[in-house]
Amino acid sequence: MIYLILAFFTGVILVVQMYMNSQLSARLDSFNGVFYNYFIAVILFLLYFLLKPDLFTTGMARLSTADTWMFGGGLIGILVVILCNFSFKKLSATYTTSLIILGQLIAAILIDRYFGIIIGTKEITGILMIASGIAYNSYITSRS
Amino acid sequence: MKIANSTPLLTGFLIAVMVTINTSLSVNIGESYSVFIIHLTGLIILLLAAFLLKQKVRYKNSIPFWLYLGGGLGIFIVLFNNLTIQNIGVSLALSLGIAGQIITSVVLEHIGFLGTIQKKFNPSMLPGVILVLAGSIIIIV
Repeated sequence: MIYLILAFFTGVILVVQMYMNSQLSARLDSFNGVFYNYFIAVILFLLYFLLKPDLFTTGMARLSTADTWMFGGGLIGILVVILCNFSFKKLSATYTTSLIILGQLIAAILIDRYFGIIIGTKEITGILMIASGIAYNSYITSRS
Repeated sequence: MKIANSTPLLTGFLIAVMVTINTSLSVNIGESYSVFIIHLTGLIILLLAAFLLKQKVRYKNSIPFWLYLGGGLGIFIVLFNNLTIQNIGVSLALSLGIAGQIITSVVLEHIGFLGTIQKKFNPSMLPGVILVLAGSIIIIV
């Protein structure tokens, strides 16, 4: 249950970060908004590793155990930012957000199936309720 | 139907693939070090792109310093995603995360968080918000 609450809380942090980021982007530019995101994270980690150098050395030692594709997340992250910017400029915000959410849920269910993770009826019901709530709100927003 | 119209759908797919890949890295090389590597590769790609597209890193003293620190929250977002996906799978982690985003944005918009334009809560959205909240509670409890 702790992980379920943590997953919800991650969404809360994400929105707070998006607010901070959009403020920064508006006062600098969109490149700098994204840049500081990554830059600050890297700097904070370097400071953290100064305090705990063994975390850095064990991580370095384990790097070679990972397959190359596992390092693709950083690249996809940048791609996602670019595609989001593009969509929000060209398409309506409501349409964009609802389709991004729909895409995530479809892909997530397929990925879980691929890894053999079975989701119970209770959980499926919850996911469908969340999805229909979002669809309903998108409909209301697009009408007003 | 223009191809551009399906961009957000593709973006959603990519997000799900990305968090899965990041989780694999986390399982292989460790929780904190993987989050560092993910941000470092992102930073390197950004700097390359900046060089090619002639973008400049800028800093303005007039902007409150803490606004630059959003990346600190980014660490926890990636870390928590990796932790939760390992334990509850991608579908539950993402759907609850999305629910958290919806509820938070309704609240922050209503109060005009960080000096943004206040948008009073539209009561006709209430059924949608209740569905999102109820769906989350059903999954969590």
